[in-house]
Amino acid sequence: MNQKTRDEILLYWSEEADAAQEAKVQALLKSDPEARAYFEELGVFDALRDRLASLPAMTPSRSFAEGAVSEMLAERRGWRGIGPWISVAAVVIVILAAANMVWPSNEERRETVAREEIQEKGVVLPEVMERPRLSQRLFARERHATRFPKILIAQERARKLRIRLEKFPQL
Amino acid sequence: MDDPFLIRKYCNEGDGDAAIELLKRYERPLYQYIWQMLLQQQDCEDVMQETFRKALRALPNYREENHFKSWLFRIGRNEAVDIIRRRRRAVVAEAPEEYLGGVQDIVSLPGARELIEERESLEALTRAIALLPEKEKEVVAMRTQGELSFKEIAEIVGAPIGTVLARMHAAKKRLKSLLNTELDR
Repeated sequence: MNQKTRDEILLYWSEEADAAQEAKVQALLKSDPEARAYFEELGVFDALRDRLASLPAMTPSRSFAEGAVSEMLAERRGWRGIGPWISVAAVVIVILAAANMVWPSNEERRETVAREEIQEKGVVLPEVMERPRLSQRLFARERHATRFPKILIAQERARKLRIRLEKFPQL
Repeated sequence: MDDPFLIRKYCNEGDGDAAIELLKRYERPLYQYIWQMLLQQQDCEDVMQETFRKALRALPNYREENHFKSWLFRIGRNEAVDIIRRRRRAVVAEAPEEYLGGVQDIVSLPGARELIEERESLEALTRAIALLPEKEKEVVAMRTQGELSFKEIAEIVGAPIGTVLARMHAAKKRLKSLLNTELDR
């Protein structure tokens, strides 16, 4: 008996053989004692199934389906509860990121003013004196500042000029 | 109600009862297949729990129409293989008494002799299965306890059907010889 025949007998035993294989195996089982013996030996698997299935250990001690589904539904409900908050947080982050891209930072404003001063005048206060005062004003006025960068820069320049005039009235 | 219908009900409407019905259909064969692979109740329960959890999580992305059983068994098999690798308990890990019942429980019963013989035969059977090579054992377990066709087994293990049939032939031959040895003891 070759491998192909054994496969066909196995498929027939498993009820997976097509019509042609079924007819062939049935004829073989009638005529060939070796094939018949092979088919009968496959009964060991049926015995295995039936006998093991009767063991108490083969019966699940609880319903895993119910447990897993309840757990998953509870998890889903949890996500549904915090879901809207995640959306709100995402929107806020996007707005802040966009604002950050459009709005000039304090550092940028300071640099622009300083650059213009260097270009236009020769007189610049020592950095040690100038920076802390400038930062203080910038942060103190931040909340009420106009939102257009050019106006902010102009305001900053005017403020610095005022400071200089106060310090050097003779000029 | 067929499997795809229950899957849709669970995924689209969040119908928990549909998911329970779907999983319950395969709970027992899957449990028996995994038990036969691991022969250890705690491991078996861990695998069941993890398999169902993973299946439910992946279900919204499931696209294999009419192959749910094979898909579920594939998840279960991967989990069982992980445990086998991790814990190195491929061969009998639990004393047979734990799942067969102790002899002292049997001797006092009427027809004790037949029961003891039956128990010994079952012990021989489980020992023989445990001694099968992993690849043969899984084919036997899927076909006998998992109630899967050879075609489905081929899909799950990712091998041609000819290879699966060859493993079944080899397992049959080996079981026959192991059982003869066991029963001759």
